[in-house]
Amino acid sequence: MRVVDAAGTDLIPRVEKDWTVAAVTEAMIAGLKAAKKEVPAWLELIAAEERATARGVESAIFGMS
Amino acid sequence: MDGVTKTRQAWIGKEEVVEVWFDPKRVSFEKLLAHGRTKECARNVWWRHEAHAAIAKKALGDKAAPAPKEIRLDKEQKYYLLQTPLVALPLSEAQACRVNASLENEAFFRYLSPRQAKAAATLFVAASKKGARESG
Repeated sequence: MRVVDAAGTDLIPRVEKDWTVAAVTEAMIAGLKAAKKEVPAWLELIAAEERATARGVESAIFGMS
Repeated sequence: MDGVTKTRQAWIGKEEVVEVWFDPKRVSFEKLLAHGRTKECARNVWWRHEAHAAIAKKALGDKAAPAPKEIRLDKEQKYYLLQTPLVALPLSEAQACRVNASLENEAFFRYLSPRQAKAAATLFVAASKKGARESG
């Protein structure tokens, strides 16, 4: 997977054989940052969710009354 | 809240509760609990991880307890989202949480990809036309 600018120049090193949502979103974010573009909230959110799921989340239960 | 990846509404006995999944690398249980207390939505806490027990007991005393083995899930998860045409939109768990919490204004669009935003707009238009037909 390559992330390139309008001229076809690589913005980040090529990502080898990893087409998971985590890898694609991380590459997109890295590419946008390399191009000094704003990273949209939805992309940050999806990437964070994928990262968290991969490394393990914790949970707790909260009550209001 | 940043670091929260998923929530679900449930019941423990007669008390309505919310289970929150979070990324401990981004937000600690202690910070999550403190945030919940400032919002008055963490008057009781049930921990699922022993590492949380001491923090929970220190903050809430006898209102902190280990989580029961089973909790009763609410039939209407993401209640506000269910009331909108967005219920038909495929969303990740984290997206559903954020959208559900920001439906009062159009801020929720920021949590949708361009393709999802386009589909959401189509869903709202279709619902609006359906509503107009039914009322007319």
